[in-house]
Amino acid sequence: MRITTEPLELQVRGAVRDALTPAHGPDGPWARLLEVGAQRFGLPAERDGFDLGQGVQAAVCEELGRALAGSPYLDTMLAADCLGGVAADGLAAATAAARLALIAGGRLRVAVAAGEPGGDPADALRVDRAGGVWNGVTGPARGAADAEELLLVLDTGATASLAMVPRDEPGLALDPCPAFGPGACRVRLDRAEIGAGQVLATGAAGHALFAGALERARVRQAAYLCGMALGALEEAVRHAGARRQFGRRLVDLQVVQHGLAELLARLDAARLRVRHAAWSLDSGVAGAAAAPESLAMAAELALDASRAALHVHGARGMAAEWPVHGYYRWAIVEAHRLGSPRRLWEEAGRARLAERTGPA
Amino acid sequence: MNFAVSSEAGALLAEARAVLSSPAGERLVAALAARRDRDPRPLFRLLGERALLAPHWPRDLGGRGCRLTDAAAVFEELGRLGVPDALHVISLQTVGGLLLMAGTPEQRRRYLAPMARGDAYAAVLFTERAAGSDLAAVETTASADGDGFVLSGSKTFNLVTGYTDHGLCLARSSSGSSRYDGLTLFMVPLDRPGVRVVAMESIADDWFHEVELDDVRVDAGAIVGRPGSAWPLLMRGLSLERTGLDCCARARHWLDLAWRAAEGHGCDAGVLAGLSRLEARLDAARLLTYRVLTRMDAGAAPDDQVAAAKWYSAEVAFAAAAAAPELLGGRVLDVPGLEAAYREAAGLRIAGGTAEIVLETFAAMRTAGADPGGDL
Repeated sequence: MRITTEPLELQVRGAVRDALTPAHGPDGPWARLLEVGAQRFGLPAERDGFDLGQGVQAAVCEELGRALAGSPYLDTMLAADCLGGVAADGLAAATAAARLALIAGGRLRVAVAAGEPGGDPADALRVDRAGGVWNGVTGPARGAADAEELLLVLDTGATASLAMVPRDEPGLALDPCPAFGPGACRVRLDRAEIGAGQVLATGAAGHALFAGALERARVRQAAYLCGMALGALEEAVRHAGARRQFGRRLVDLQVVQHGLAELLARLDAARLRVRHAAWSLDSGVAGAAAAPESLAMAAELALDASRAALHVHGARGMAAEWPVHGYYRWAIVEAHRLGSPRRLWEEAGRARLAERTGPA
Repeated sequence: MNFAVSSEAGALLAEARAVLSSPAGERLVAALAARRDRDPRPLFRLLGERALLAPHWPRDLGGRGCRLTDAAAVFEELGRLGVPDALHVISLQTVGGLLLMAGTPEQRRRYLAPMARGDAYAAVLFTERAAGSDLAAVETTASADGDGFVLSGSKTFNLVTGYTDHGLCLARSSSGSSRYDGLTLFMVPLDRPGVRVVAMESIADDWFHEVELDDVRVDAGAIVGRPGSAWPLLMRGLSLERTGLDCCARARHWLDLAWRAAEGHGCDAGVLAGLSRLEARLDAARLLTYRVLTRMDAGAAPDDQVAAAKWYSAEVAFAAAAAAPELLGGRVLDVPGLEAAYREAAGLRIAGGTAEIVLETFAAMRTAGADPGGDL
């Protein structure tokens, strides 16, 4: 095993970092991401994409995390993965193809409305489909206020229904829930009539479609969380190197320096672990533990790093003027979005046990 | 990034496994893994006969000229099987690596070829009672004497010295302009008059040794590197013992022991979560380690990446050794191997650079500059 960063990944990372600096205005980062074509990096060539794989997408997501600009990229890519897996002979094939073309063209932002964050996907959503209409409330959807369409993930247990609907579909209402991030909303379904052409998949097929897309989304979310940890630690190191107390820079105090060093070393470790998971997905050799473990590791790191980064700022860390609070505030949301670390470790542990005891 | 296992590594590993599972190999591995025997030299000789002990060394020195990243597959396999690896790490990886880096052609022929065959071994004689992490404080002296030197002093906490033929000894040969000047490395034959090796009991199954050097005469050919200039060589050579490879290999073995104990005692969700967390950390430690090995194959590894690999993998190995009792309760301590692992594991965060020293190195590069994230 030889570990080197490929030039393409460095190029992409550099281009995305440039595009995200400086972030200004709610639509700023997304518009500039479209300029570098980031929405097409992971799409397959036959969908007008660049087919660059999960590794390059991980680099993009890290940069997004560093800039706290995950929306709408992360959800739109999760939707694209779902759309890409829609059966070619199904009722929704035309919907899927049209939506993918819009995503590739940078003309469609999607917010994913699924279960409550951190919950068990098996009991995430209580949606009643009685009488052909849908009733219920989803968990928070990241950036839903700015998205053109919603991907509804309804009942994600052994069966699932995935539906793509416009945000202003009759029977849908968006309840803002700002605790879950800028533009986050719960989606209220009140006698919503969702046409067969909008339903991407149902039943076991829907479950399989979402499970595959979720696995890739978890690796991207893990990279996003690594980027958040990186951004937080950059702020911490900058402040600790400038701030003087008792005649010394904070970073020259060993207790401060070693705490930051441990987190930075853990960051190297987590970034490589996430890259490895991305590579294993691209290569078709990923074990079932790869995605949940990567996400849990990155989530715990983002929580620890953002807390330490705020703390090293002292009271400034809580003031709006200094940017570090953004990492602190949103890490707790992003760390639970696609499964809480505790549940992810358990899920991964069961997968590891099955690998050990299963047929060799 | 491409994480595929190379075909060369796969072929080397297959060859090593064939040796290790031969009747002779299997018998030796079983005795070592069960701790009935702690001397790995007969097994190493078996591997050395097939140039599998230091396959990354040049062919004329008994290696195969392969990459370190490929050779590592063999070293990991030894650790996974529970073969004590300190002798390999210290003799072949550390001393051998320093000789490859700075030895004269004559020294390389004289010392490395027998080491690659498994016929000779070398210990590291750096630490003294008053000089541990702060190695420049060594008090062992080397006084010029005709065309050679006379060494006097006392080295301590040395591992594997009971099995070795030579010791690479750090001594002060002159007083320089700074305390880092005037230090010299010597290859000292341990059967030389004036050398006394005494075992020193420790909590680990592999005991320490004290090595007394009482007017031990060596010729000028024993000097490794330039006289008085050992410090820069030591700094360059630090990466050899800080790759984290040994920690990863042991962590793999210990984590396997923990899994077996867990399977025997019932895996509830908390146990599975705890073991999965360690598996993920071990995966990450291996990646940090292989990143360093990749850079070493290309010339040299950056200090921050070496420090990250060493610190992280030592922490993981320690956690792996402690995992079974922490997750399953103290009742598992008499599961064969687990209690010995716990006794041994403390040393991994001390040997080759303490956790604090290694973090200091890492911090110096990552918390001082404009790019705390560094290069991936």
